[in-house]
Amino acid sequence: MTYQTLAEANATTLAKVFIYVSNNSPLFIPALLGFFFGIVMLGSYFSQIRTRGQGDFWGCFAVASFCSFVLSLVLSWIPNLIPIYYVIVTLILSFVSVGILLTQNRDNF
Amino acid sequence: MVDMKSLVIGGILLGLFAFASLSVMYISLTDNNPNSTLLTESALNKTFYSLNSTLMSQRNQSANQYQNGTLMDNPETSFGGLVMKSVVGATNLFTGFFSSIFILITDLAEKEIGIPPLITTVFFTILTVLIIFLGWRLYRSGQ
Repeated sequence: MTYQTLAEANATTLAKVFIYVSNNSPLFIPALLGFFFGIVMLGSYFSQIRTRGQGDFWGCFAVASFCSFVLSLVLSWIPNLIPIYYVIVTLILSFVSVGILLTQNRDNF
Repeated sequence: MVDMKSLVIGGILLGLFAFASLSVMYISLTDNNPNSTLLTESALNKTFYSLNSTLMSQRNQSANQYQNGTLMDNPETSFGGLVMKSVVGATNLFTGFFSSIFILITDLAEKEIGIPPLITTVFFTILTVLIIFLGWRLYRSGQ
């Protein structure tokens, strides 16, 4: 299989480079969102454990899912870069995680 | 263990969060990428319209109550009116928000992710039974 080159794709701007990468490797966008989600969630969770001795898992999960939704929304501003499937998945994830966070008994925090 | 108070307050806050998220999404997409198919997604549009109409009706109701209770020369007062109207308003807000968001999540999960309708129906049934039991516990023990 031969890959399309940057010159063939006429990738002259940063947005076109991103579109070129996502067209040639469809896993690029979900991997980007997944890594971003994992970094934000694990970073904030272990930061809480280090500073307070106790981590709020659902709080960090909600923050990470909302940040992923914002990132996917910003990526969707560029035409043809991200399928709306990923924006909708991150939107559902943020609603579910915020719903779990808000309906918990939070007497321990 | 979740109690009825947390569920109602969390449901209302979740509705406000969903309304704010969808508003930001529509405004930013209209400004930056008006041809996006997210703007024409029927499930999102339906939910946003439902949340908006619930909030608008609550705002009009509150404005009317404020006018009747404070601005009139002879304010209309009724026995228990404040308590009953507050409870009814909060319950309407909770049910409107909760049903809108639940329908959005199940619609999108079925259409976009491909989750079978049987699973969402079972989940909806469990949630309904849970809310009925929580309402019963609120009536019996006040929690």
